[in-house]
Amino acid sequence: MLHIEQLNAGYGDVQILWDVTLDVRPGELIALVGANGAGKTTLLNAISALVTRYRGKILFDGKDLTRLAPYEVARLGIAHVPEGRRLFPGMTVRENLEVGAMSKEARSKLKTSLEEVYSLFPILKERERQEAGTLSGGQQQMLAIARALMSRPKLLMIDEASLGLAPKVVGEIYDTLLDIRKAGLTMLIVEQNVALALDVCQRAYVLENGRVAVSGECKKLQNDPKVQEAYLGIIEGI
Amino acid sequence: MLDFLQALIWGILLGGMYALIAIGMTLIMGVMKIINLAHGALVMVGMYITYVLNVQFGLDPYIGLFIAMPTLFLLGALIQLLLINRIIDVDAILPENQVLLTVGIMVVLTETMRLLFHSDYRSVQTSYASENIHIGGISLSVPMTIGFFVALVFVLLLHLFLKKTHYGRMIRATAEDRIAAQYMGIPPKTVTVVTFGLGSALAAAGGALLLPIFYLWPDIGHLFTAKAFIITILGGLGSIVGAFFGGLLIGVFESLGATYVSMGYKDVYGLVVFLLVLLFLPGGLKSLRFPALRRER
Repeated sequence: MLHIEQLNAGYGDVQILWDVTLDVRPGELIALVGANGAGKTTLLNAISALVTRYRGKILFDGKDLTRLAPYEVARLGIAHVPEGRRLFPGMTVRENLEVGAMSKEARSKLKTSLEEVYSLFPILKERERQEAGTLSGGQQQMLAIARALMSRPKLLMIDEASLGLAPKVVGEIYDTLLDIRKAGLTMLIVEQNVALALDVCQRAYVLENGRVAVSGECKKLQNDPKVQEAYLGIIEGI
Repeated sequence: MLDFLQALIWGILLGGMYALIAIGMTLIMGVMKIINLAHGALVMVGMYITYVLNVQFGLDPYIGLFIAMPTLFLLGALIQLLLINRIIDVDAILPENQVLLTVGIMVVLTETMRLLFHSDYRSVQTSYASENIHIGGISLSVPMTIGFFVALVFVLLLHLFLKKTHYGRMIRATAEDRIAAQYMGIPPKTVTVVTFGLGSALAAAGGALLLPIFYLWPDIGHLFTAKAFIITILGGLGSIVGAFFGGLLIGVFESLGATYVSMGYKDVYGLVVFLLVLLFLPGGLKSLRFPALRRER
């Protein structure tokens, strides 16, 4: 579904990603993990056309994304839940969701979509008329995910869903994400909490200094001594 | 007491029309994050269009308004599409350069009008220009009253457009977070073109409504740019409700100042309010609501 080959990208003259190759197949939940500054967010932004792509291919359902503008990528069915959530703080919860349904097709199914996201996140229905800026962090993250779902995407990309949230809230959000995945939605998630990410995903790509260091099935990576030592805090012999 | 009430009401009537002009500026400010210093010039062009329609074809200014508005919508949209959008694309150029560009546009518009109409003072002759309605000792100027209520209708229509329509929500989303709006699939350039057009149409409406009350000459634009700028700051940048009440406040201050201090310093009172607001309420009227709320960005 998403095929990235030998991608080199960065901000202006500062190159961040080096020869990144990645595949997402329909129905998969793929995790991008790695330390701070490894290039995870940049990779998502490269797909969304918000950073400069120098070389390489990004194909989505066979269409080349490297020459498109950010809004055109979104219209192809890639929904991006950005780092820091970037809600529209002065608009109500309901209005944020309505803006999420931008394409003609999404707008024609607005009612169904609203019911769906309200049943996934019932708290949002309670807060419908409240300004998004007044929600708690966890509720804002839920709204950001719900807003992305309103576009009825083919691929959902989530950047750091767990950042700055209480463990209990993170658990709730990930439970919901797994429910969404079971319904058949393909997902590409960036997660700093490597243990959590490897627990839920099928395959993962470990980024180091802008390159793919290791990739493979999550179950195997969980048992990989190198990954254990570097990211899971497990050191052999202790 | 009657004097005071009279001055207050005149101020509110005048302020409603100022507010309409300022709301056009604040709408552009919200989406583009720049002060449009050509805004007053757009008001002036709107006034000349209404003036020509009146002198050449005998159209009443309140009807000419409905021709001036779409014309200015088109002019504003073209300015954004052909000039300002090109500058946004260039990474190395600071946003200040967009503001400088609007200064250039202002000069071109002003001097073009001077070429066509010279610097003479002009005014339209209408049957109601000097008529007054008397209500319990207070007299209301007919053109000011009509102007105020028409302005009020436009403000309400704009409010409904932004709140209730799909396109209105696209404009608000772009104003709140341009990048996040693109994540949603909103094309930012199209939105800025429409927004600049709308802001210009509102400027034209304000100009047409003021035409029966004001003299018209090419440099009158500067006066409106200054007033709209003050009102925009007063209301809190990008806030439409704030700009509306800011407009009323400036109108009332001008009117009270003219009545109780001196008519000659009419335009100074607004600047005094401006200084006071910058000193004591730097967030504008908008910050009176939820003063403690800090919005995450």
